[in-house]
Amino acid sequence: MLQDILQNIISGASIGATYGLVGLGVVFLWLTISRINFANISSAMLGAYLFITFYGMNLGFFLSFVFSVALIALYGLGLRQFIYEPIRKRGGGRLEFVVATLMLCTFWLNLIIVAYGALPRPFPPVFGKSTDFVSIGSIKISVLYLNIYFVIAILMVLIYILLNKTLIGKSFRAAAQNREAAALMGINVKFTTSLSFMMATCVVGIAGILLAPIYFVSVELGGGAIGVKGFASAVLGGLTNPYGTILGGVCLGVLENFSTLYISSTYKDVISFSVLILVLIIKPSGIFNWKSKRV
Amino acid sequence: MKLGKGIFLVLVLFLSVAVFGSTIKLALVAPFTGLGSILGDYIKKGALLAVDEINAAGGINGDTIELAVYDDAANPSTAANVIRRALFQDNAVAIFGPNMSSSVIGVHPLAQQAKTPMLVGATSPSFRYTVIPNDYLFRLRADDGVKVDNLVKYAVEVLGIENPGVIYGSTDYCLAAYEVAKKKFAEYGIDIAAAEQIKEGEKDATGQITKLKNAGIDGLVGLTHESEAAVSVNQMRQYQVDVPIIGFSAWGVPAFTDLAGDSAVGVYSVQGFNPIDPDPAVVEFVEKYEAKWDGEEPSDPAQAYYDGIYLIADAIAAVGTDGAALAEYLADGAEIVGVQGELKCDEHHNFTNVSLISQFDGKDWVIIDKIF
Amino acid sequence: MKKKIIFGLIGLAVIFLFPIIDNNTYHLYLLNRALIHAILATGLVFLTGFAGQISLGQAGFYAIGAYSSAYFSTRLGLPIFLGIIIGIGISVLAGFLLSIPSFKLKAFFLSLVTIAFGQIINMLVVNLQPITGGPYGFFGIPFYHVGDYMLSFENVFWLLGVILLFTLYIMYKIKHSHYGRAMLAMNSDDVATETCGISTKKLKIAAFGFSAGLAGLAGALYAHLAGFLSPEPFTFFESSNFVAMAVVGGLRDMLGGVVGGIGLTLLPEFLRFGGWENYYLMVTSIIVIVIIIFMPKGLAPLLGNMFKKIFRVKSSNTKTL
Repeated sequence: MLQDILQNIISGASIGATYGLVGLGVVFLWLTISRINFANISSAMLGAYLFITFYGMNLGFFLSFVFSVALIALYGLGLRQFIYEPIRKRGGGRLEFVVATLMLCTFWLNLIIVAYGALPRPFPPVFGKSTDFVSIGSIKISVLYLNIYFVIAILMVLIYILLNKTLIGKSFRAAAQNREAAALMGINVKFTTSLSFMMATCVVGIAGILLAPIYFVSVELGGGAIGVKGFASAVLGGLTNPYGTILGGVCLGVLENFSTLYISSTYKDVISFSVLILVLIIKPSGIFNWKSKRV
Repeated sequence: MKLGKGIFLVLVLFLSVAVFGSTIKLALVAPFTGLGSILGDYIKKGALLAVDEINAAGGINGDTIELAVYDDAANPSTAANVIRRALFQDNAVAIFGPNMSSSVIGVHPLAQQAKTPMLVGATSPSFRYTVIPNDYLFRLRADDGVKVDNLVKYAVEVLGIENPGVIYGSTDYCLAAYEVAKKKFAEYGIDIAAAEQIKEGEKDATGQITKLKNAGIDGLVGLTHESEAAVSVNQMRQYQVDVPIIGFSAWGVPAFTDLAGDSAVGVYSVQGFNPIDPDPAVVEFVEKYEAKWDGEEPSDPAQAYYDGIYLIADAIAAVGTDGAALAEYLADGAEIVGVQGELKCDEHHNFTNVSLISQFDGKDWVIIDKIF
Repeated sequence: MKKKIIFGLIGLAVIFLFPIIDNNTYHLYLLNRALIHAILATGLVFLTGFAGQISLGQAGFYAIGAYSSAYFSTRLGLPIFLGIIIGIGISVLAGFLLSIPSFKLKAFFLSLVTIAFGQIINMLVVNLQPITGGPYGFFGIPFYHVGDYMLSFENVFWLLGVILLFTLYIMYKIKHSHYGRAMLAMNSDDVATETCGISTKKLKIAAFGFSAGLAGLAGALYAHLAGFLSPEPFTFFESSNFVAMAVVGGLRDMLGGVVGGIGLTLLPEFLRFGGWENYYLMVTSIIVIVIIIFMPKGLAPLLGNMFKKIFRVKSSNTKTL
């Protein structure tokens, strides 16, 4: 019994970590421009498909990874240049950006279907096979998830350094609070905005490549439930706390598994969404947002 | 202005009648956009192969077939739009699809209203002719009442499963199969030990498999779509629940085995089509399909709609393009040999009841039994 | 402003004659669906453009209205008219409930609550099989009829048109009432409105209730038009389409919902050329993005200006004549 509980915590946390990774993209954009990119999850799909395309050209893991992430970064720049800025210049508000990115999500989804077909594809076993696992006692963790934990750990350290030990973090916060004032203080708001767009798409693109062995290289990566759950994780982290976002995702994943185990697999999503609404009503600043006062 | 437009419209109408006078318009409704679009490509390619073959051989009594393809986005509400377009604007002689059972049940009255035969590949037993007596509605594949019956029969009689667990999805395809399975197991006096649901898009089945394992199942019946099948099988292997696994038709396809890899070895499935079937008709079809579509392997819906086009061609050659006459001929007179074997309309308005039981050996689905 | 309304009315009168010119079943069915979407999008224009709230879960209300009316008229044998009223009623109640989070939450947080709401309703539709039919679908919903007389698609078109006009009339009245001005004030500044002695809570409840009611009405109207329901049209994807209708039409324009609802219903159908079955949705989404980028005020004000111009040209012509 205890073993079952532990196993479900571990696997729930693992799938939840993937939600958190996707949520990071939301946080990076919110930090500077206070906008939500509803095509956030499309970057994951694009990352995965680009990767298998390059990998299929026999470029090897490293080059394929670098090329796809670079292209995704470029896409982030394009997003700013061709969607965000034009809307802002012509006086469009938040909702205009929301709808534009929602439509963008439909666009990418159907472009991928046209280009690659809608059949899910297997991901090359560069991170190990999906059935390989490590046993700790009687608890089993898939090798794929160990990779994800490893990457998350690296990302967390990088993000910590970037946001707290460099000027970028300060300029992010300044730009978020007041664009004009930040510009007057000598902060290059344009650069900061571009950077946050690139970071947001890149982290989700990397997430897409990492998640592809679990989610398969499929359109579900660009339009399935994971997108909404990524938003949910970001909200649990108050939209500003990257570490809280990962933690929020993990908790969501564990909650889902326990709903299946003790209530019903049919109603598990109803339960997790209800909890989300409750959390939002009771503590809108996010329950895993311990630094909210400072930001 | 308006008069000019009117004249223009009339002209276009006359022109189109003049130009298309010698073509027979068939409509194909299948999903091509959105998350549910996996099968659309197979359906279109199977149907187009047959259309091109027939046209290359001189058409039907000299008339060529024109296939108009519509997207229903796997959404019955969209299907209701495009079926109306096919019937009332494009005046199709016959309609192929939709391929989703709930869509079929929603839109079949339109076929009756327009007196146009509708040939579908959807597989729910809930619209058998004995349940919904629509003279214009026909099915091109074995329905799930037949397939799941065969699946359960094999599970109980051959595999000796007495304490079955079921994992099923949340679409009508999965639920209809689950209903049939429940009934069939009950006929054997067997209670399903545990039935767990995995929603489309879920990637972790730990909770579900924990419950199945704790229920002490001695066999797993899988009634899900391809991706969820792969997730379930992977985790069954990971948590070492070593019981025989027998899956529904979505488990017997490359889309599943590619995703599941080694985990799929040893899994049984009930199929409507198997590309390594030694039946000469199947061999020939696979060769032609691969030659036309860059070596792609066909799948179950491809052969069903391929057969369907030949069926309607036979009917049009016999009685012309009048809808009522076509429907009558399809129900009583039509009898052709297709990829699925002999096709003849039965009391359920199904043209075939063929299904295969196969086991995956790591490369191919080895056929154990072919049931007609 | 008044002129614009008059032009809208004239335009609608022309449209009203359409079924007499073209009575193709497919065209009329599409137009009827377009009018239903126009009703729903009008509710969103009210909620977002006037009251400043966001809903990305409108498909939830749409579903509540559709399934309630279907259930009460099909399973319990109530007249269609009553079924629709009940559908509206339940949607309005749900709208009141959903307004509660909006007291505290703004913008994205609120939109996430509404997304979660929409998802929950969709999952309930899938799972509450005894009531909704679940993924199998809900069949045999009666078509519009008065006694034994079955309405034709033309009749339904006129009926929907009248309902839409009535909706616009109510919205016009609200907009130019005390409440409407208070809502516009709330839209620009929550706190300041509150300090003026206006309860923003009440306004938010009313705004959510009104737009939810219209979505429920649209759902109920759709249920009886289509004759069957299934969970697929009630997803997040559909909710975002509804918001796109409101934005493309114009959030600050009385007729924004009408223009957007009709436009975005017909656009993908116009793009269904032969051989385009893979592409038409991509093209639709690109067109929407382009409209949003280059015309953030929406299409309705643009069309309004065009009408005005045409009118001026005509009036000057008559003078010279």
